[in-house]
Amino acid sequence: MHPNRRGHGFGPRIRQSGITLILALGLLVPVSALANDTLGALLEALTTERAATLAFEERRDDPMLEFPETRSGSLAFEPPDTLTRQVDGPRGETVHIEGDTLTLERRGSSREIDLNEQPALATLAGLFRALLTGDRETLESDFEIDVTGDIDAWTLALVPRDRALRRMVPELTLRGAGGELHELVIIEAGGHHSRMRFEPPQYAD
Amino acid sequence: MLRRHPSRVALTLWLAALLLATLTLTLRGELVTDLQGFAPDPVSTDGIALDPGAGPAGRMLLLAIAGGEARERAAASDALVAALDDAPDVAGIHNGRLDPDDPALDFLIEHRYLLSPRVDAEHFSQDRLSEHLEARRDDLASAVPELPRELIPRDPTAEVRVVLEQLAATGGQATTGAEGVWVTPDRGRALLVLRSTADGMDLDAQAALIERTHAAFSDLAEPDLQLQIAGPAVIAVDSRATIRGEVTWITAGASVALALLLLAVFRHPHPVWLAAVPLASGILIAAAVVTLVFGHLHGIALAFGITVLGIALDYPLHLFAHAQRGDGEPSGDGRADGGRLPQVARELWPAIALGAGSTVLVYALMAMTGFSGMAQLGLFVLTGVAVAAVVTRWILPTLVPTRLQREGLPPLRLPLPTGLAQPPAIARWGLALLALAAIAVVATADPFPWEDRLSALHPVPEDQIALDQDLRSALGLPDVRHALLVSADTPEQALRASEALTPGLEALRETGALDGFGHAANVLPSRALQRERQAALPEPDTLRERLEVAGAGLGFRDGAFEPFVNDIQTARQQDLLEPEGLPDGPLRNALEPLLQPRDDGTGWIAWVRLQGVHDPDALTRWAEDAPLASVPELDGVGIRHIDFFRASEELVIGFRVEALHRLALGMVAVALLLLAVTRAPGRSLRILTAVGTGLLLTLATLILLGIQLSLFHLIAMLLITGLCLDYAVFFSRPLRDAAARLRNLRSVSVCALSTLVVFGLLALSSLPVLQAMGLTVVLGVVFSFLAAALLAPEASRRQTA
Repeated sequence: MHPNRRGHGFGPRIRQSGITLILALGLLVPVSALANDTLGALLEALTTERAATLAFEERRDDPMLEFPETRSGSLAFEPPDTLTRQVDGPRGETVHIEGDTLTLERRGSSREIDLNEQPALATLAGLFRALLTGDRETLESDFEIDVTGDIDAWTLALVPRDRALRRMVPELTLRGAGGELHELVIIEAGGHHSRMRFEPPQYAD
Repeated sequence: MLRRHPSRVALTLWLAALLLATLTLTLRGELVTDLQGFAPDPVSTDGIALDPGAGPAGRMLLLAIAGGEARERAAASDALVAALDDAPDVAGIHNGRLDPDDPALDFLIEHRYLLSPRVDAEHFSQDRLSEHLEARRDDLASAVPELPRELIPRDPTAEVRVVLEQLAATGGQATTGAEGVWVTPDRGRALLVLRSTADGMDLDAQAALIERTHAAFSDLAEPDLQLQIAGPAVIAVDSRATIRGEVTWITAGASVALALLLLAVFRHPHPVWLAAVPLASGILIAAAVVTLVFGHLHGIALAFGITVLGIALDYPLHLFAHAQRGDGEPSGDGRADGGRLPQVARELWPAIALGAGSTVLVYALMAMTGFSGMAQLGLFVLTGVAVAAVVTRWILPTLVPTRLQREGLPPLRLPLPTGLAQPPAIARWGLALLALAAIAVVATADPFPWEDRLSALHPVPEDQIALDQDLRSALGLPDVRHALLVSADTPEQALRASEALTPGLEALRETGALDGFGHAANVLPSRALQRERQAALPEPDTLRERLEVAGAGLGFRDGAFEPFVNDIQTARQQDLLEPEGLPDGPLRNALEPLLQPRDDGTGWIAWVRLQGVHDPDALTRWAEDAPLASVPELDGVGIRHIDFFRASEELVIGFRVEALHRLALGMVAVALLLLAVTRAPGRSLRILTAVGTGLLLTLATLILLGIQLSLFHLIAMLLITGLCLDYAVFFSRPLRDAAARLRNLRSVSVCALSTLVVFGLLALSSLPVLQAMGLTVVLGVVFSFLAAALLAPEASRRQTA
């Protein structure tokens, strides 16, 4: 029995990748003033103009791999829209997003990707911008959003509306308490599963 | 009884002819409107139509959605695809969005090892697999995986991506916007490509499709958004509509102006409508005759034919102008022979017959050409002119009310400068000098300003052409001008030939002769190549061993790549793909424009699309140099470089050369006819000199005005030849008394004036084509009239002075 054979029949969503990164970046924003159960208030709390760095530990469960993989890294945000995700370890990499350009550095070589040519990446980058700027309209047109819990233990569940993206990433779940993001869980098609745990943010100023 | 009423016999015959013509047109009438039917196919040996509209690009409509926001444009783009995808006249509409649930994509994935150009024995070697597995291991850990993680177990060599990229490149390479649909490089507009089922030059079908597309867009009710449509068919449909619209109002305006002119000159209503009888009879019967002979009537032959038949309006005008009462004559001449008009008709017949006969002769030669369109035009005009002349002679007089016949028409109200009746000698010398100057101008025009581009015949607004080029480059679509044509007996041969051409094309690209190319075998490889690829796929056990070695130390679970091994095993045994068995979807959509059975079912053609052709001559040389000679199985497969613009230029040039040739032959024949009929070499010479001078002066003036001479100028020159023959024949009549000469002068003047009114309005048109025609005829009428008047015999004038 091969659990990874679940991938049969899926379409070639070739240009859609980097999901984890964008989501993680999007949620770097400190959650400070969560209103009871309204998305509007949540967005207001997420909007920030400060630079910040967030350390994390990621655990990946993958049917392709013999053992789960655990790595640590950091996320840095600099207003208005520059983000850097760095992962340490043997397969470490640095991903830098500035404007519409994504730069991937790995083992000394780097690759540039135009986000405009990557609809799925662009949608997720749009999520990030929407969260930062409190753009509820864009957020709601790209994702079905479900906010549950209260200010001390909230959960934000996002389901992409775009069919192609949804087939790749059926579900994203964010958990936090008060203004702090604690956890991001991403479930990808094919049984790939990622859980990131965040430490409290360090502000540059 | 019959002998006593010959007019009744004539009338009966005429009515019967009109009835038969009407019946013919009603029952068998078929108006063909495509340009190809008008001129011969430049590569008819291959049986492939070479109008730009007939190539793979001709069926494409390029759509752009502008205005609003990116999100709205993308939504409208999707909605337009949904609305038009199932329309019967739409072969396919695409906006760049891949439907993840489309079964056609699964089909692509299942056949990726047959379709991927990278598959060979080396591709699944130990070393290559090691590289791929290393990259896939990175993907599993990366935030930006190169290959979507869900595909890794099945496709560690990323073959799906290669197949999709190749497919996208063959169909053009548009930018995909953040919303997932094609956009212009500035991202300001969403782009779509629509392929029609109808041929690009089937203008009625294309017009309906364009209309449907606009309607579907209007149904979206997005007031902020605008739909732009471009493509060869749009240009052709637009220009046709513009010409139609303009012709309609000009025809209406010209008819009113002509009626007013005739009413003012003849001071009586009857001549106004009667003048139209010979022309209308001529058009009706000529259309029927052409339909009977050719099986159909070409729209262009009809339009040009009616224009050239303008000569036929002169015959009744001559009749009426000569049927006036003299200034001092009492009304009611009361001749014994039953009326004045039949008498006049009898008197004028030799002149009318001579003019009409000469014209018929010119067009008879034109009718005997291999050019179907020109032959139709020739037959149409010669029939129409003959019918109009005969109707003027025998029918028209009997149609005139008895009272008018008896009394004759009131004197013409047509003030003419006395100089025209008695041209001073110096005017003749002036004319001779002008003619010499005209000869000099025409002879020294180098290069002769012929307009060879077929596109010059289309009155296309500049912005429409700019939009076409703009969208075409944004969609990365191939050159509309250049292509290679592969003709073969079977689709397999055509595909193998396309594959065999690849190295040569690659070499041409390296030398800079072209920027890129794409062909049918990029979409669907030949069976031979698919078989080769199948043979290159490793056996399951071999593959498992290699994977184990390649994946050592990377942390993959045992059997993680078993789906890959299974897919390879399936591919080794799967049925080969064939053009006719492809399911609907991207593969079929990309293949159909590039590989088609011939219309006559005798074989297959494949197109090689070329991008950025910089050195067409090198391409032609290469194509002529038997690039397939090294492959014996492909013996008999034809390769040809097609320059669509050149092909249409050759079509125009061929038409022109043939028309000029026929015109020259016709003039010689006319000279012989004139000599034989008039038995007066002097008069014949006068007539021919007048015609020659009129044509020369017109031509020289056009050249001096810096005008490029197109087919439309040529058609106008044909009309002028007929008009000038008519004027010269009348002016050269040996008339003795001054009154007769004055009547003659007035008669020709009325004809010239009426033609001037009609074509003067045409010259005011905003369309270059109609303007060319109008201006040429106006110039021609003026010069022909002057030449014919000045060359009128002096001797008779002196006699009567």
